[in-house]
Amino acid sequence: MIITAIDLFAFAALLGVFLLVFILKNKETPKAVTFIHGPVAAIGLILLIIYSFQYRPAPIASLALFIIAAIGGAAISVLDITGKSIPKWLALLHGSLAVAGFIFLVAFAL
Amino acid sequence: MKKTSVWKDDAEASHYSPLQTDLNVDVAIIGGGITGITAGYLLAHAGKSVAVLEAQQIGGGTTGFSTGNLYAVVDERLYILQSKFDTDTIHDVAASRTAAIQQVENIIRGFSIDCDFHRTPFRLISETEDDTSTLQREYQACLEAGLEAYIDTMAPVPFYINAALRIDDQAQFNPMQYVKALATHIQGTGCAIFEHSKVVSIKEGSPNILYTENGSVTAENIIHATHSPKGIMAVHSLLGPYREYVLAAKLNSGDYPEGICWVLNKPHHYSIRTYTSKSGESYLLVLGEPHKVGQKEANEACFDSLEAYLRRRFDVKSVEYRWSAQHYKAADSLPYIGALHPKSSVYIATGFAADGLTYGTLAAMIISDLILGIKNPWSEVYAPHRHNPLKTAGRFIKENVNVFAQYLKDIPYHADVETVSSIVPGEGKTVEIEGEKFAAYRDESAELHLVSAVCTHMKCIVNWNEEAKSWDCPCHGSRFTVDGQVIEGPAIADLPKKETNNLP
Repeated sequence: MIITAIDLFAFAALLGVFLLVFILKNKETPKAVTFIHGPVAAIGLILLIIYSFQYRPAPIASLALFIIAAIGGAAISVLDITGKSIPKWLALLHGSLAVAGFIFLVAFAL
Repeated sequence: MKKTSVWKDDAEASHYSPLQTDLNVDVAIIGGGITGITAGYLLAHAGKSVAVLEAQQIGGGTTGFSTGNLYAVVDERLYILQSKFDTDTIHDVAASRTAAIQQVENIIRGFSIDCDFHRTPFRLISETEDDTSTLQREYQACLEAGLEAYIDTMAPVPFYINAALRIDDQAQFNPMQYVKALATHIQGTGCAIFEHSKVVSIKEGSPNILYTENGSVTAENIIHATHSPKGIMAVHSLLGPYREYVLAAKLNSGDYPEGICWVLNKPHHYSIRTYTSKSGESYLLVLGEPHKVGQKEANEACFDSLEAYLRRRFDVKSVEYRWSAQHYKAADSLPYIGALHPKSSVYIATGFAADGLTYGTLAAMIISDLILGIKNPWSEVYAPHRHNPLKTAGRFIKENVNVFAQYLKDIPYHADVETVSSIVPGEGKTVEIEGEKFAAYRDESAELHLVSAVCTHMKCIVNWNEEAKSWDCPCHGSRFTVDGQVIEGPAIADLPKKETNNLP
């Protein structure tokens, strides 16, 4: 389960980097990528939550970072779809938290 | 053949000046169609100060592209509403729509409006045994809704029928003549009408403020009489936008059928009626071939299918007019009419399906009563804030999965064509330039019109509408001209233009 979560987060991260480039260049994000990135990351997060309930020790630090990153991601999505400008710092923070969560998760799994 | 509606061609142009100042009124109405003008009349008549802001010309939106039929039944069938809700609800629907027809007649009589209003029968016609079982269910629902309905074995049409459901005393009129005449009568009597005054921004609050390019209207109450409310609202997730096509033809026989005829056909019915213009020319109108907005490639073919249908049943001499119209289907099949939430001063009127002239009038009656503090017997039936998730779920899921699928088509580095040079005159295609999608149309004189392809409402990629020469959003139905100006739908802002120098 945790390996599947890592795979999903890795895929979401690749898409996220792609989206971040668009945001930093002040260009419209391709929505196909946006709407794959979000759900893939969400499924990874759900798997991580289930894992955390089923096994001890749980990857708490990673989980906390991913939850905060997910809240940021949801906010970015709403801003994007409703035509409001996305603060670059928010996009960078979202990405940084997710990457940190990913590193913690990989370290935990190893 | 004229590519406009017979109503627009048979009505005199209106000349109301654009808003050039800042106004303060009791009620500001966005949209000068049948809903907005009727609401303007009812509210001004009750002593409220009203401003109507129309982006184009009075009746120039959906009203001018309708079929001019007024009836108590509904496009989506009363028996289906009954199965979703109950008998009381369809009774309310039939009673409220009957009252709306009477309201139209009262206004016409009161102002002596010359708009070809006449009472006439409505017929739902089946050509097959299979369709007759549908018709029987609708007949039963009509009776239970309190309508005087009959089953006939004949109808005034020149083709074989299996059965016809008849309801007498329905009505037809010229909707453009009606709305324009009503606007003339109410202008200056507490109601100020402004044409070519597109609302470019809305500030909701206390008070509400509508901004146009050259003025603003501050109002206690706002009515979105724009078919689909402007801006981003949760109700858009409960609406499915559809386009339908209409032909107006002349017959060799000169034997035009009377009344409103809906001929059952799977998966949709065709609506047929006769209209006689002011000059005495008669036309047979047929409407059908609906599809989701922005999701039909080569939609000119819809007219071909419609004409083929017409020619199979009537002795067509020539097709004189053709046009298309838009409507929005509500998730639970009942329109959303009233305040956004119980304490809101923002009112919406949407989800009329193809029954907009009657529902538009009804919406004006209900919203006027709500603003005036008068109890309206049907306001709860149509309240936008009603909660009925089980009745809504089916279409809500269907429409929003469809919207999601449209978003997934926005694939990076992928558009209709790679370079604008491959677009021939008369053609519209999306093209990606420097990582962004643009909607490119080359007109007949080979001039390129280039605008962003990202809908300003909720950022779907617009698709080319070959028939109307417009860019249509497949998600929530916003439509734009080739130069990016909003034609209709929830979008407020135009599609940004792009310079056409140094393009690939």
